[in-house]
Amino acid sequence: MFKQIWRKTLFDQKISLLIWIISLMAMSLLVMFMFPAISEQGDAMDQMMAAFPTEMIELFYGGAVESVTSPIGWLNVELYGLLIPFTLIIYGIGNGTYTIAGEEKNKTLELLVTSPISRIRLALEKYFALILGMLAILFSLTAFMSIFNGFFELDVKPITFFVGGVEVFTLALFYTSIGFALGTATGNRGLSMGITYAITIFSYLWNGFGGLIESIESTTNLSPFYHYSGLESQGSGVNLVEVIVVFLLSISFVMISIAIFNKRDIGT
Amino acid sequence: MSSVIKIENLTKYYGKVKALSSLNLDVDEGEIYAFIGPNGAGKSTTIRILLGMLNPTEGFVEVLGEIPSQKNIVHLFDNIGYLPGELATYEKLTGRETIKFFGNLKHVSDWSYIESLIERLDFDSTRKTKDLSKGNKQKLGLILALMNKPKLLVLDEPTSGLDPLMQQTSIDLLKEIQQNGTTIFLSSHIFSEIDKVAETVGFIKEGELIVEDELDTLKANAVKSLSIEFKHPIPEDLFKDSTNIQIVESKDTSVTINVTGPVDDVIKKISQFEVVDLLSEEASLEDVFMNYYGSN
Repeated sequence: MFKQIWRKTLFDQKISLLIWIISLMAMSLLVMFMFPAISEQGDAMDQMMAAFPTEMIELFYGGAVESVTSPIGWLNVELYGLLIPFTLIIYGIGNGTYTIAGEEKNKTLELLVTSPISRIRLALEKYFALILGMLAILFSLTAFMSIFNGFFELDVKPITFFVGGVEVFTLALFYTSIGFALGTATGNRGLSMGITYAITIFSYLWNGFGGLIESIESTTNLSPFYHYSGLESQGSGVNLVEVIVVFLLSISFVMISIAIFNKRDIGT
Repeated sequence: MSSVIKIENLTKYYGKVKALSSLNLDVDEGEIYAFIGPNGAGKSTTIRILLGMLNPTEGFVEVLGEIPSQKNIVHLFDNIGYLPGELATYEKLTGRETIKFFGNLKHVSDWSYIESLIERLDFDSTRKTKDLSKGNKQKLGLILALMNKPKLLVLDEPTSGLDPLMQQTSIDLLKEIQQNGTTIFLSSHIFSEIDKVAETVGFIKEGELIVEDELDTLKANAVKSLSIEFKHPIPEDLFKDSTNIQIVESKDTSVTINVTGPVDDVIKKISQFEVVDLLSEEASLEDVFMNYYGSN
């Protein structure tokens, strides 16, 4: 258990991870539980949704909604549109900025950097643990949704949840990596967290309001949220190019920050 | 004897604030070197540069014959033990889990040695570190620093928070470790601790090394207080032409003087008269310290 830093980091998070997983499962259970009642409303709910401007739907539900009374439409509106991606982003940024910068502030980093382990390995193991934590949350949720959705007349295939999970992970990975990179490069958790949340909200609003403002409409594709489509993507599957671009960008942020961490003063 | 620590012209700025100024220092193999100075004098900055946590602004340091950098730090830390001044631990782990975690990181193979340290320091390893008192945390820190049988031990306030009995146990432990060839570099405010273990002492003030010498030499050259009682009155100008003697109190048949350096001159002068009693107070390290800090 304590042979590697990544194992110990995950061990430290075991209770918090469990709480994140159970909370998400509970919220998902509630949403699934409501579906039979919503689907009975039929066209009335869809007509109500259709009355909202498309841009507002994009902004508040994270993407176009074809039918809120369909299983995928309902799950997308209530879970995969905003709630799940933002929950994972919050988890990722919170832990990503803590993993080096938080330990530096708490001074526990001092014993680690004076042990026979390189700073590069230390940071990479911390990042690995962070990714594993995110995957543990998503994997548990995907398995839970795949098993239980049938009990509530949703009948969505596991592959749809899997693809949705990859979408969520890709989106959250981007912001998590920014948070990790800023924390690792600066050693200042508060500043890193503030900047990363600001970037997240700004890019989200950029995508959401982009459709309303003609002058920036063509640039909304710069926002990672533009490329995120939640469960809707099951029709066309995962866009591999987008996933690879996000992975490369994330790895680049992380590598640059580790190079800075490797040279900078610790605990000043 | 080769240098285990070599510091040359070391200067460190934090922004515009100068923390260290052209510091030069050598610690020989097998030596116990005490680094003394008030808070903010630059002790911790020096230690952090030695351990590669901070980069020098100017000058360089050599530890175990190598300039610490991220290229060789892994190999260097196999041979270095470090006790921070303020030990921060993972609060969710017990003492034993903490020892196991760092033992694995430090490639410890002799776990029986760790058990002997736990027993000797009477450390309760079953409790979570958040529940440990300052003294018990210090014991944990000492075990973590000593666990890999280092060639160089860097200790920041090693016995701070320990009760007198444990302070003595720790001092005995450090002496034993030194006898096995380990070089010890310690910074401390506790003069009694340094007095018992250190061979060489360096005083640092405002980032500059103001004096460095063997402890015995420093004490021998320090101001000593002598109270002498004579059978008959002595001349008032007996010590007049002695530049290293300062009269503190003088009566007809007794005198109290402060002597800086050797007392040979005093002995020669008083031997001309019949001495009834002579009381000499040896200068403590604290006296030496205060003397240097006062005069500087």
